[in-house]
Amino acid sequence: MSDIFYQYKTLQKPIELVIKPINNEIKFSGNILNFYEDEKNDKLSIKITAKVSDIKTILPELLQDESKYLDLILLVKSVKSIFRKCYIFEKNESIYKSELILHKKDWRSDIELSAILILKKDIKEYDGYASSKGTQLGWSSSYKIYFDKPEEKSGGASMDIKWESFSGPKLFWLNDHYSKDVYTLDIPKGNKMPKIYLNTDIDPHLKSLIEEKSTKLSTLTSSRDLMFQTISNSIFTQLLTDCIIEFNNHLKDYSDSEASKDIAIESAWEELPEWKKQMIENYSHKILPGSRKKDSLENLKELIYDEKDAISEISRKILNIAQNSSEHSTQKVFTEHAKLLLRKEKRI
Amino acid sequence: MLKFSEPLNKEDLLEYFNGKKFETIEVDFEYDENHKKDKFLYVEKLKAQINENIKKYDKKTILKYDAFFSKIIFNHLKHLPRRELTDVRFWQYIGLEYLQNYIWIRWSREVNNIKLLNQDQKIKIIKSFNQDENEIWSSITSRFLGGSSLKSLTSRHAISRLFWPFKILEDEDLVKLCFEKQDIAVAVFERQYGLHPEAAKAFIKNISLKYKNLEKKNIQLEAKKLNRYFATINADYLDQNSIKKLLFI
Repeated sequence: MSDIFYQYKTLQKPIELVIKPINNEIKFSGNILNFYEDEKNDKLSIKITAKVSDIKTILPELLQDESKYLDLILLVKSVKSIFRKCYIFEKNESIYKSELILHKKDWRSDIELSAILILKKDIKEYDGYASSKGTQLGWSSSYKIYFDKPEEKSGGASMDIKWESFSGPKLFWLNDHYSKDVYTLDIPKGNKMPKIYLNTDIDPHLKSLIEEKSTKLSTLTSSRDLMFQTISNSIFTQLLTDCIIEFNNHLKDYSDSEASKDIAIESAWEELPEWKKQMIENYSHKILPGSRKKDSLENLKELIYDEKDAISEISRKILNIAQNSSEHSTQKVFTEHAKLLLRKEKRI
Repeated sequence: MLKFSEPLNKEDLLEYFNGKKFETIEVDFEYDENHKKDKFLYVEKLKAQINENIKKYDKKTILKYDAFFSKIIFNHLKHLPRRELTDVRFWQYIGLEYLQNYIWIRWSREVNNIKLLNQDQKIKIIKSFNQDENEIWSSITSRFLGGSSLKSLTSRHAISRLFWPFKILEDEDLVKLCFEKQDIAVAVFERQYGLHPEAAKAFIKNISLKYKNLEKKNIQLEAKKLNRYFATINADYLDQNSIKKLLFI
């Protein structure tokens, strides 16, 4: 049977990939090796073996000589090292073998190693089978070797907040019907960061309140905080919605192009601007509070791919995600303001 | 040779032009076969050659000489270990300490004569609002700083964006083709397949064969189309001819 995500047959079971350092003192923890912790060795020699089950199932009955039509490759990828290359495994009976020497001087950040089964050449088209040279027919899980300590995740670039007239040429789309509004969000196309604009033409009292710098608790500062909370909730909602919708749109593009699930997700993710990736990554555990924090991003990507209603389900909760994602919870800010006003009223 | 010990950000850049000295560390030359030579010689020679050449071009013509400067930069720095050549702190240091004049002339609209550019004007330019890009910081900041994404070194930083295409394409004529139309360089070196030399070479060689008038929208369309093929087909396995076939399907 062909896979649900493919128009052609792929391996039913993942390729078994085993990577072992030749030096017995160096050991992977699961699929990860923190080689940056090893101060004694400047190079790492590894032995790589792979096993492919039921390999003949992905070839048409008339073309069963797998050595003629299939190659197993080791893909070595490191974006931070500006490097990607594949090496063809040598086959020894049923085991595929390769060796690699990695010098610290050649790598930055991390490298990812995985095995992929590839169609070696163009073949005649058979219904349900791949026919183009280079088509990926099976995958292993990947191994990671870190040459530098992974960077702490940062909040990424920040958004600018600017005062601007909503009647002026810069925000021309607001001129006709929205020129008296208080705030707006501009999400430009491409990689540029969104910007928040506050209207310079608002009432001077309101402007003065928004510009109030005091941190001392008072009706004035509490009202200001309440306004900020309301503005930030709506901005957050709009930003997160935009990020998720764009990811979903890219996913649809790649799903239509016969890509596998993993590759569709990876490719769609790659198309997103950096700030959108950062936004989804930072709040994935708020969107999926039932997921373990470290799994939430991958779970979210898969959910959007797998469930056609995922976007509308997230949209139903997005205002609540916003209320719980800012530095101060909305419930707390609103409650404190209510308490302050009611205490004042009692005193009067 | 030195590099900054931490990557600089926009605020640091302003402080740099205000005269602040940032901490530096040694670039790792240990493995370089020529390491016995004066470590500073490479970059001092590079600086001298670049400065000599920027005198020959005015503001308008220098834009057309990316391939020329790419070759000079590549030839002077090619012996450095990849680990250093992929370090944004290294490129930031080279750009600010040695090749600053080139960056101002190539990337700042306001600078016509480098001799007349003083510290205050530099700060003014860095802080200036970029009307076209609708940015609060001048766009030249990314040419000094690079960034942290894939494209920061292959496409954004003013010096590394000239080094890496030469390193990947390995051919002067291809580098010329690549920079002839900036949209080609952006389309290839801001995508992951651009890191695979065969894919980068095939795209650059063939895009101009497919489209006589290289319009931006066609370049972007073909780059995205190729990216989609690489969702099912492994780019790293294919040679240039196979990739060429994909471009002409």
